[in-house]
Amino acid sequence: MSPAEVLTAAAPLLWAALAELLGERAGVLNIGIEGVMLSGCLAAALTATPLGPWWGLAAAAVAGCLANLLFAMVIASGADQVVAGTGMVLVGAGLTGAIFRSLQARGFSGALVPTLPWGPLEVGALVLVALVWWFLQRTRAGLIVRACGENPDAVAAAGRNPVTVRVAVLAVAGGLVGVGGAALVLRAAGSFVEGMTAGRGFLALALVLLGRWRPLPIAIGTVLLGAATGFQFHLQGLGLAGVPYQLLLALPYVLTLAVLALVPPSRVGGPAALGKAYQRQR
Amino acid sequence: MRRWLLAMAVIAGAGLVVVLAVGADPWQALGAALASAFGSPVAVQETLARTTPLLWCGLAVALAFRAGVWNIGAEGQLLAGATAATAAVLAVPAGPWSGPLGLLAGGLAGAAWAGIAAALRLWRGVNEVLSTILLNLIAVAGVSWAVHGPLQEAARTYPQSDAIPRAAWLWRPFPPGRLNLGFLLALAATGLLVLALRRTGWGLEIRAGGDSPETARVCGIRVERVQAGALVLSGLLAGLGGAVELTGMTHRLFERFSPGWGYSGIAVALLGGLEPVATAVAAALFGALAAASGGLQRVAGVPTVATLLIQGLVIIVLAARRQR
Amino acid sequence: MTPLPPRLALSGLVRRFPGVTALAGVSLSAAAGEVVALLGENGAGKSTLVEVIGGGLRPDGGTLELDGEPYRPLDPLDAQRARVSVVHQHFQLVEAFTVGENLRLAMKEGSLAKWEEMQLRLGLPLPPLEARVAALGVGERQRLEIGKALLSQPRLLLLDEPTAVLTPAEADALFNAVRRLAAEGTTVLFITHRLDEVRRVADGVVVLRRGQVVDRLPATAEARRLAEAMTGELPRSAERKKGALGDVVARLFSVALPPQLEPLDLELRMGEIVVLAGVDGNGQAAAAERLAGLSDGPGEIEVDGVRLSSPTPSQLRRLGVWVIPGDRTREGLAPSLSVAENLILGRHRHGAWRRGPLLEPAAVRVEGERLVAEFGVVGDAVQAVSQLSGGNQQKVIVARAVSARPRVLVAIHPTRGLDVTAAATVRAQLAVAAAAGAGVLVVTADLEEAVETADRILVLSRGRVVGEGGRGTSLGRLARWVGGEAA
Repeated sequence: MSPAEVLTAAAPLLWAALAELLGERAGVLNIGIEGVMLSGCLAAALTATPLGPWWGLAAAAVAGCLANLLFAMVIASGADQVVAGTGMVLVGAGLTGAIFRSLQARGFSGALVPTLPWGPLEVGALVLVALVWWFLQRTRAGLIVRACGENPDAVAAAGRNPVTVRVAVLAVAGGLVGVGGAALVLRAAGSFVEGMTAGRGFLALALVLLGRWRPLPIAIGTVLLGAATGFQFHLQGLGLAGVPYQLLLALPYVLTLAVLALVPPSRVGGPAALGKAYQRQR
Repeated sequence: MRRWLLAMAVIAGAGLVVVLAVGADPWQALGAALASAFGSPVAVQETLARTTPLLWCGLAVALAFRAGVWNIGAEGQLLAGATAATAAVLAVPAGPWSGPLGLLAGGLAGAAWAGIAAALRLWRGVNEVLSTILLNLIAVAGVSWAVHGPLQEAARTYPQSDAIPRAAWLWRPFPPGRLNLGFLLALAATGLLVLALRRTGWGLEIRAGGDSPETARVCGIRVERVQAGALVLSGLLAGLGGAVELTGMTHRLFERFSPGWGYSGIAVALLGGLEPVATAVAAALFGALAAASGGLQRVAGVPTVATLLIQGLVIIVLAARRQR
Repeated sequence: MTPLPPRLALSGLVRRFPGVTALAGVSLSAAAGEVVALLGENGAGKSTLVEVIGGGLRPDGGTLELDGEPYRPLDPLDAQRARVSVVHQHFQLVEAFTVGENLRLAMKEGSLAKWEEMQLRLGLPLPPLEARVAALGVGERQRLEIGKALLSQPRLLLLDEPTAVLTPAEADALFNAVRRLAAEGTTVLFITHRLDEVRRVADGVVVLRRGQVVDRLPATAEARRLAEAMTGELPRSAERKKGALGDVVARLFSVALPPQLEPLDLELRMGEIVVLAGVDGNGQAAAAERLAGLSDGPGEIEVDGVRLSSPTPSQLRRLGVWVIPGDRTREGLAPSLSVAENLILGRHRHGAWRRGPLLEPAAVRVEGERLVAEFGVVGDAVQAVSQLSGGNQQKVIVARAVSARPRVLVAIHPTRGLDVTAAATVRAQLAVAAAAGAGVLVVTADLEEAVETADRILVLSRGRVVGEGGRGTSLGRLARWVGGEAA
């Protein structure tokens, strides 16, 4: 596989993983990223078919942003993040599936979606790695975001509302996840199929954890995993009789689980307030 | 009780929107839905049959969540159970023991599948949300491999297993309806769970550990072990659900065996407030919804996958409500 | 020429919470450059008052004026803009950040160049900008908070129990800095419950009791007068019957406590009440938690001759070590479980309510009702324990530990946050446990309580025992040990 192909395979995952990184640094664990990504995929396919791939990209970003805003509102009310995220996965899968099937009945097949050339999404993902690092470490806004993930009470004491910050971060992250979905439809696949994210959202969660919440290690892990995912298609293409292709499908998940099992237990590294609902004290 | 009203409102509201979006007539759709779910004795049996896997998964999730363990993996555990049951039943000559053997294998497989996540949590501190989700994805791939490979039917035409022998089928009291023994077993499990939670020391430890793990630890309860045990038991319940679905309803294993019962189980458990009996009622509601969706698709053209959407919305709305 | 208006003028401030009126009409004034001490017992309303002035809470009634202008902060940021800064008792720092990052979080703009300069001005050593907060000690963190508060050049500075976690030397440095600030014209208001501090640094004292100002005195007032104003009428606790002591029931061997503290050796006898006293953070709670198995580390614990290293709570419970934990809500109660269930938690596997592998709910309820009556808990045995008031919740925790007939009872801040009568009940129960033969280890910051209950008092500083006294140690002597005088 050429480096270009590896990047194409890895790009959707990288956009999603960086988006999840931002959210988790702000203190929000978003299980539902899978559903948000699917929304991006469908929006990209639906819009690109009549209007062209660039509009598809824009629509995907908007769809992802709106989906994540829904999640953000729910957890802003104090809901448990894991539960709300699980709901988002079902909503994403159900909504995209329902819309797709009813459109299928009217002739939209999801096949032959106009695609984007190599470049913007792949290189964009790499640029995003640097951008996210710079934002978190070198800007005041990034400082506030990180503080929300470590100690939201300190942020409130400093006169900012952690809830507002989290909602804003999730909105941006949603847009990025949507772009990741677009990268899947408009680059790697060229078509829309129900459930096409195939667990990439969950893999993004694992990658953030394994990369210890730092953009560069996350990027490295993502590219490696993207290569493994792409590699499995190659193996299928080669018709390797001995290795059943379904097991190859499971390879990324098994690899991730194996790494999680082998890496020694460490509570160190995560944002201290990750996953906890923030309650205003008044 | 507000929880239930809210859930009903979401179901009705979302259902209406979906029906209108598809361009169907709401009254016609409602009629088709009710007929599909309750319109005849056969329909009622269908509702109860659809309730069964939801109840098993709902109980599994309720137990785990109650103990403070986020088991998102009921889906994978159910699939592991169905696969193991298929393999076990097909491996031995048919006989009166076939059915019980299938259930036993299914339960153990589900427990073991959850056990992986439990072990990772206990000894490696791995977050169970992530591990159970990954195990779900692996299980789906595993079923796909099994029905394309070692468990595929002799004719090698379709990605499905051979039909299990009649001797292994769970008893259906009122044919041609599909209500089977599995439903009664699920009710029994509900009762046992109520008993265990309210009337055993272990149940108290589960509830205390889920309510305040620090306090339980201070009182000398070994919270991590109790939670690991709860996760394994949760897997057992989901695995039984898979085995029951196999031996009671489908009689063979195939691709896409579960339309997401494991995830729906989460909605069911939340609606039931993590209490076993209320969970059973919630499972019946969602079972009726599932039965209704068949009629809705036939008559009104509403895609069945819309039920996933409705379940997701119920979860979200209930989650938001939990804030005081 | 009209006189300058006072820096701070409060009139009739009222603030209510569900079930309690924290401020019942507080009026006071402070001039520019004045240092005023706010004195009062637990629950008198001092912290609430500081929160209101600092913008963290809105008053339900009354007015505030700053330099003659109306002052109604909407939030802490508003207060900061009005040049009012608060240093809280519980720090609001991001541990994973550096000092510089924490400062930048708190400030809107402006440079940190003044950080170095401030050190010289105040004579207080401030932690360097690149240091990670997680690596800083308690004293350094507080100086960080103070420095943070001073960056905005406040005209009014509020300090909530500033010396609670400081060594005597650090406290001195702080007071010098406060006097320098006052000389520059900053008004300083600080909360304390220590009479000696008042004399060292304040110009005047405001005494609060039950949400009202009961007296306004110069700092030179007699300690006796201040104490009387603070406490008013106190019910006398029952005289404790001091019985004979038995054999050694528990020991701590070279138990190393959190960083920077030295390893501790301790012995506890049957029937004895040993109190660990001193400024919070010097190892008292840490030592008690080690004995109860709540935390881990080098060193060994011995109970009834059984010697263990790193024992788990379940091992220790089986040996008869029970604990009243310091964090009531987080470590003491399972909120949605019933009162009865909370009462038997920990010994639920043994008892009259067992029928084979099952628990008989009716028998559990009966036991719950019995204990509720015996320990004077106001509440129903079957209701969720979260519905009880704080004092009654603490009684449930005490009842659970004492009714288990422990060999060793560890009580960490057992009366913190309780009203006077509830506190007296809890102390009586500790005495009952000792009389029944338990070795009791108590951690408390309340010196009067220490003197009243102890058979032996140990004052810890930095993990070392710097003062040891038996029954009859006077309050004054104890306060001096705690204040840093050698025993």
